[in-house]
Amino acid sequence: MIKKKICMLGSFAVGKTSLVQQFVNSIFSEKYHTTIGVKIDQKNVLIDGNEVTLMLWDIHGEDEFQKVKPAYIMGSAGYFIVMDGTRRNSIETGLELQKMVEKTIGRVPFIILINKADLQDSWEISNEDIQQLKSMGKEVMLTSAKTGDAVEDAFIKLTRLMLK
Amino acid sequence: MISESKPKNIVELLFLQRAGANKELLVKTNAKGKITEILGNYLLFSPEGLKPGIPITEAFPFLSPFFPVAHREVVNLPAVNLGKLYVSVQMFYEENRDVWILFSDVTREVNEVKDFIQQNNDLALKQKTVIKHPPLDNPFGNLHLFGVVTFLKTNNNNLVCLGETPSWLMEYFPQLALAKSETELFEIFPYLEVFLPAAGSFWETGKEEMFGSDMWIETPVDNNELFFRAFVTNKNGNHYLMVRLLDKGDISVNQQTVQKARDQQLLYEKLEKAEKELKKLLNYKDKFVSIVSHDLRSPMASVVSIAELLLTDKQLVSTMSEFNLDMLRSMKEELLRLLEYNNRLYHWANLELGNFKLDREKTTIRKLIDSVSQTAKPKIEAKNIRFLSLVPEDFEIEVDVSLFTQALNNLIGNAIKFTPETGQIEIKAKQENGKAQVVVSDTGVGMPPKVQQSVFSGVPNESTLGTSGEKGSGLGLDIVKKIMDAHGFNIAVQSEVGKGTMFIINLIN
Repeated sequence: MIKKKICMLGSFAVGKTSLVQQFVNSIFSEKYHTTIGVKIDQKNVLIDGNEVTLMLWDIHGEDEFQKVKPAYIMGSAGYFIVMDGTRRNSIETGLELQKMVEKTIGRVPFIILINKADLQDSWEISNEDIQQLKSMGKEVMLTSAKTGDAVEDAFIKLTRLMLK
Repeated sequence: MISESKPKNIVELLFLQRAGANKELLVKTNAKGKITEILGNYLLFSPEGLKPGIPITEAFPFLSPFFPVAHREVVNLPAVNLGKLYVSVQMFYEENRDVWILFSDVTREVNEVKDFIQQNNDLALKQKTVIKHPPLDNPFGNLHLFGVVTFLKTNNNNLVCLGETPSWLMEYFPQLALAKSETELFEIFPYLEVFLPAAGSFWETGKEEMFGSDMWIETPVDNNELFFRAFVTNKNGNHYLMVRLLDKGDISVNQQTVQKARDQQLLYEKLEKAEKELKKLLNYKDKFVSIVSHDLRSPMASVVSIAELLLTDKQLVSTMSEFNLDMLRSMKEELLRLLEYNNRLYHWANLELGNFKLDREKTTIRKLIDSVSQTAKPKIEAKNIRFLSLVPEDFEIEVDVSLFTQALNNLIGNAIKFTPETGQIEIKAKQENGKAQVVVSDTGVGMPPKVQQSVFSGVPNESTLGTSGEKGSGLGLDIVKKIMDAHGFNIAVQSEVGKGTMFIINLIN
C-alpha cells in the first residue's frame, strides 16, 4: 500500500476542515469551528489500479493568532492551498504559504482550491484573479465543501499528480 | 513528636503551608528505619498511631525491603493499597543516610480511573487481546493518572512503555503500549513524525526540563475529537517521551479565545464589505441626482423664459382675464422656485460627490456681507425685518468667494424665513485672541433641541414653512455645512424655541 501525506493550507475559515470532512466522511457543517493545532485523517483511494492511503494533514489556519510551522510540511507528497472565494485577502495568505512550502520542501505537486463555489454570487475573487493565478502556472480548481462539488475530483487529481 | 499547631522548625512550617498538606504525611527515619520525626496527618495513614523511636516498617510493613538503607536515590512507589486508602509513597535519601518518606492520599485519583481500567480490561479480555503489562516502573510516578503515557528511549533507539498506562490508551489506542520503535509510534500518531526530530535535538542537550510539542487532534471513534500534546525530557542520562491527552476544559478555553477573535475578524470583514457596498450605492445616488438635476435645468429655464415672454406680451395680456393672468404669474413664480430648488439639488449632489475645486482668494468679510444683504434686501423689506451688520471694515478672509457667498446667502435666507415680521437679524464678525468668528443670529421662532441635533447631521432635513408661509428645499443648511467642511471651517448652532437662532462659524484656518 502506498502512503502519501497531503497538507491542507490556507488562511483561517476558508474551509480546509470542511473539505477534508466532505472528502473523508461526506459531511458538512455550516458552523465555523476553528482548528487548533493539527488534525490528521486518513482515506484509502484506488487510483489507476494503485491503492493509496492518503494522510490528510488539516493544519490550523494562518493568521496573527496561529502561524503554520514549516515542520508540519515535512514529508508532504503534495498539498492544497485553500482560498475563500468570498474573501479576496485569502489569495495573499495562500500565496505566502505556498512560497513557504516551496522553500521548505521544494517543488511538490499542489492545487489551489478556491472554495465556497456555492456562494459564487458574493465572491470577491474575480475571473481575472483566477486567470492571473493560472497564468502564474498554478493549477486552480473551484470547489464547494458544502455541496461537495469538485471536492473528490480535487483529491483524485492531486493524488494522480503525486503518483506521476 | 506529632506536629502540633505551632511549627517547631522550618521544614515543618514549609510542609504545613503546602496546599493539600492535610492529605499528606511526612516521616523522617534514620538509616535503620527508626522514626525520628513525624509531620502531617498521621491518623489518616496509620490510625493505630505513629511515634518516634519505633521502626517505620512496624506501621507500614510494605516498606521492609527498603530498610536498612542500601542506596541513595529517590524511590517512587505506585499507588499502594492500605485498606480503604490508596497511597503514593516517595522516599528521599539524605547524605547522612537519613530518609524522608512522603505519603500522599491518591484514593480519589485512583477511584476516578479504576472503573475505566476495569472496563478496558474487560474489553481486552472479551476481544482476547492481551496487552502485556509494561514491566518497568515510571520514574516520574503515577503520571498515567493524569492521562500521560511515558516511553523510555533505549540506547538502541527502541521505545519501551513505562509503568501504568492511562485509561484513554486502553480505550482508543491499545496498540500504543506495545510500540517498540518510532516508526511503530508514527503509525499510531503520525503527528509525532514532525515532533520527534526536534525532540531528538532536545534529548542531545541532556536538559532535565520539559520540551513540548504543539497540540494535535485525533478522532479515533465517532468523529469525537481528542486533543494531545507530546513532551520529552531527560533524567539520569535517559531520554523520555510522554504523550498526554489534554483536558477538555483547557482546550475549550484556548479554542474559545482564538475562535472568538476569528469570528470577530470575519464579522469585521463582512462589515467592511457592507460599508463598501453602501458607499458605492450612495455614490450612485449622488451621481444620479447630479445628472438629473443638471439635465432639468435647461428645460426649466426655457419654460420660465416662455412664461416671462407671455407676461411681457402686452397684446396677449390685454386679452386675458384677471384670473388667467394671476394663474400665469403664479405659474412663473412656482417655476422659478422649482428652478431654484433644482439648482440647490444640483449643487448639493456635487458637493456630496466632491465635484468642485476650492478657489480661495483674499477678500474682506464686509464685502461678502454687503453683497449678501443686497441680495436679501427685497425679502427683508417685505417682512419689515431690522437687519444689522456689525462687521469691521478690514476683516480679511481667504475663501472661495462664490461658495462662501452661497453659504452666507443660505444662512441669511434661513434667518429671514423663520423670523416673523418686525423681527431682527444680526450678522457679526469678530477677531479675538487669534480666533475669528462670523455669527448670524435672528429673533425668529427658534429650533427644538431635536432639530438642532440633526441640522448638521449630513442628512437633509424636511423642508418647513417659514413664518409667512415661505417654502424651501430642506437642503440649504446641509449645503452650508458642506461648504464649511470644504474650507476646513467649523459651524455650530445655538437656538431656543420662541427666542431665536444663532449660527456661529469658526474660521479655524
